Amino acid sequence: MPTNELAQNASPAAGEAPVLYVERATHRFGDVVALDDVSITAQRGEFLTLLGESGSGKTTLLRIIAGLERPTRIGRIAIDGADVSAIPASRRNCTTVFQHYALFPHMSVGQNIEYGLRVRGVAREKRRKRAEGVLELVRLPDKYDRRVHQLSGGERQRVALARALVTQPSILLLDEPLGALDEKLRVDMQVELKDLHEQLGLTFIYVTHSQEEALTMSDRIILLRQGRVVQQGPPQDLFDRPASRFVADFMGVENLLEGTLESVTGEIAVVRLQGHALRGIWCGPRATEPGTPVCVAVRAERVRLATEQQGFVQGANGIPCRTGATIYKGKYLDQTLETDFGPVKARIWDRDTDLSDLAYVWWREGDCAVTPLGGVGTAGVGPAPIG
Amino acid sequence: MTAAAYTSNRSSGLRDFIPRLPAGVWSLSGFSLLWFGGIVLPLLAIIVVSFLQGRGLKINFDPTILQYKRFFSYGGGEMLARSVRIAGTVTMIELLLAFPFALWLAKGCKNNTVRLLTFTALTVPFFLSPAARVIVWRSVFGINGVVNQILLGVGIVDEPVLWLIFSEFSVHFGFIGAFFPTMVWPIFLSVSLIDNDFLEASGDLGASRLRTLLHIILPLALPGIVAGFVFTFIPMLGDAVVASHMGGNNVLMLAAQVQSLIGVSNFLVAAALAAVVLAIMLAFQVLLWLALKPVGGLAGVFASLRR
Amino acid sequence: MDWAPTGTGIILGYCVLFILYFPIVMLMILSFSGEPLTGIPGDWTITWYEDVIFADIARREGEAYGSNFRIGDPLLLSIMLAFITSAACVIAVLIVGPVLPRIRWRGPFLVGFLMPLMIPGIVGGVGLFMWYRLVIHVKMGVWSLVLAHFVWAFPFALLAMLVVASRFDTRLMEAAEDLGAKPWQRFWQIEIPILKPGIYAAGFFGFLLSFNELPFSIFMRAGQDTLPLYLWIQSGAHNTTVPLIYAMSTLVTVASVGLTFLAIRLAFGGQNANK
Repeated sequence: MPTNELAQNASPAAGEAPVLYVERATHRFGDVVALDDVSITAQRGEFLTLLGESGSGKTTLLRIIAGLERPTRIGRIAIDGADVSAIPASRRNCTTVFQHYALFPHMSVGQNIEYGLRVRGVAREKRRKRAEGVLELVRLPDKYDRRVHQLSGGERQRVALARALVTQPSILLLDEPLGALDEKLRVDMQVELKDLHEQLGLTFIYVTHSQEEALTMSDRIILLRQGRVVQQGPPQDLFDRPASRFVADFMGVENLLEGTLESVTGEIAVVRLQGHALRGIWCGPRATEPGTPVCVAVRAERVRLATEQQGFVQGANGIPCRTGATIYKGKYLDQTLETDFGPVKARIWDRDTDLSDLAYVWWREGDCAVTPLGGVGTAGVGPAPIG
Repeated sequence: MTAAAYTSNRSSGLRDFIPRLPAGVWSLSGFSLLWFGGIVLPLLAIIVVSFLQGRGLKINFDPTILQYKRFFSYGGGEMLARSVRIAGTVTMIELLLAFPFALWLAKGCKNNTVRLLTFTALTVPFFLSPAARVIVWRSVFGINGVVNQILLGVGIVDEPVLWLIFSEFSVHFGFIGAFFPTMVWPIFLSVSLIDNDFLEASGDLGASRLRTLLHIILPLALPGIVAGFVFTFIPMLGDAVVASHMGGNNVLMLAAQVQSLIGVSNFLVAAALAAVVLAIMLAFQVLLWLALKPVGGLAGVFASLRR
Repeated sequence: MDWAPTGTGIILGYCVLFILYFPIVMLMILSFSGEPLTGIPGDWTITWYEDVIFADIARREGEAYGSNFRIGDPLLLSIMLAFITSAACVIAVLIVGPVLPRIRWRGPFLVGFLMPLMIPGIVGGVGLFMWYRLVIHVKMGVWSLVLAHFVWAFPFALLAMLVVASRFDTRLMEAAEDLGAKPWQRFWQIEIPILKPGIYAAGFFGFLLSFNELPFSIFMRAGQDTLPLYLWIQSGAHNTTVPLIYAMSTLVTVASVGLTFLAIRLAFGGQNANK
């Protein structure tokens, strides 16, 4: 599927022209291709996440949008309808929140925030007023005179945010801004960022490697791998309808069972796996030949247990199993179940569940995705050997 | 608990009265005592000696400002003013030449071979005999030197150009080459320490290259600029070789004056001169300290570089 | 983003480097020329090198020789001083370097140790001379030259060591102690190997800074000349010996450059080993 078609399908607000166009961006570092012919758009007011593991090209794409990196080849970059391909970062109407914040160490909090206004020649009093306003916004109202090294990690994060917001850009670019914070703070900041986004109605482009962050905050996610877009869409799509085995794995699907495609009727695909016929939602391209190796992706929390065949819901996939290892995870148990085609993981929330006469695992066909092994847009990834 | 009990059992008698410090602290204290007693104290003692009277190696402990009067009546003031003026001028020229060069070396130059060669070229001169570096200029710039031969031969001038050597021009010229590395190195090191993120953030927030230079690079490179200034100005002020080889008797500077005073056993006047120089150095450092105060002093600048 | 300054700045920088190296290269070329004092190369000869070597040998054997250029004693003295200074610097930075970054009141210590950098060498030299000769009446000698060279080289050696030592992770010493190492074992087996680049640098600075030291030596000697002193005095005095100075300076320069290259390779070699 061509990438620009995907982009149009995924755009949520169709009425307004996108605030950002990136067309056919390619970037190389020496022999390494960091970004391979990628095109994306962002709608005004959208929270768009560029998701991917390190080396996927997500940060390079962000830096190209910011103007910090000059792409090797580019069709067009347009912000607010104006082509900015030849315009340096300093004159693009977008600002970046850097991964390590890059707060100037020789300036106070106030001076840092006012910097963008100072270089634009805004008068001192006006500058101060706006800086104080934006400090209020990020909930640091009394830190104006602090020095940067007196701040905690979370406070630095907010100052970096305030500094980027004060110039009122069309697009706010965030490069893994929560990466340096500890777990608790990260969760709090996710909520706060989301609130801020709604309050301001600004376009956020957010780079992260964490699928959890992406799912929590985004309107739309673009998943990158090896410099290419592998899937894009709303969080639910990526979570429940992974377009390839890679996406399913990246989005944290625990059970990835490889088999061969038998048929696709409507939405439902039937997969042949060690003598069993499993049914699930088909997430691959329309015209796929029967016999193609595919992957059945089921999340552990969707796997149910039964003692006899009558325990299943109509039309569900049911497989005989033996009980395997149990891992205590605090809130739940991770239970491994041995089946004909290898171990299947199930999540057990009720600690009193009796596992002694367990005979079947099962899941609804709607809780299960069937994806091609290679997938859309992935280069150089052959089908994995089927075990 | 057990460890504490063990220690208290072992230590008894005299051992209780000696603080239990690591061996390193003891040896540092010993060395510091020798250094401060043998070096720092004697250097500061010049100031006391300069207020004494005496002849030759004999001195009386009888305070006076006679030595200062004699020093200034010999034209010492003029000589000092000249030394500070020449060293100051050349240091400023070095700063202007070295800053763009150091900036380029630290942030612009991507070719590793060029960098390595330039580093080596900037390191080697520190270890060359001072005389070896300037001696040839006399043959080049002298009355019968290469330059004059060429100028006469081509017919640009009718008689040899005399100001090429033993003049203030030649002293400035000799200094510029000799003291370039001492200015480049500290600036290079401090600019290298500036995170590229800061430069990118500045540009991203809308600053032009000039703005970034003024607001970000210059303040963050300040420790290096100050260090370069100190390492260039101070040795240049006391340089014995360039001034005597390139200036001859026409451009008398500090070193030559000290030597001639010692040469005629006029020790106490030399002490007065040394004391004046020490006072200038002290004033210089106070000025630097004041200049750095707005950014939290030198220590503050260094602290802010750490992330 | 490209932060390279304009071309003029770079070209000017290399012009200054040219001004710095021109006389050094010229010196080497002229030292092989028949008429070096004219500044015009040509009429190639090695006679000046012969004179440098044989004048001194002839004097030692009691023979008359055309030239009275006597390089042997200053050269030997300088080499000896350089070795002593180098060793003293290594010992001193080992005492000061590892402890200084860890103590609370390091400011005054640092100011005191780096004081010679803040005073022109000639003033430092005359100050020490005044104290030892005038105030406490000690005769100058080799000891005072050693002291002078140490005072000059130690601050540089210390700075080099502090760069390494301030990054030293003290938890390594705690780990060694935890594993049962005695204090001297921790010193030899943990501290010394990690501080090695600083130790090499201190030795290197001590050697070469002493070997080419001039301003302090002017006043801190008694009778004997060091090599830079001898070359400096001779170059100011008689025109007849100047060609010999060219030859001798060339030899010293080549030796210094060789040592510097060796040191840079050593430094880079150490870095590679760490990777």
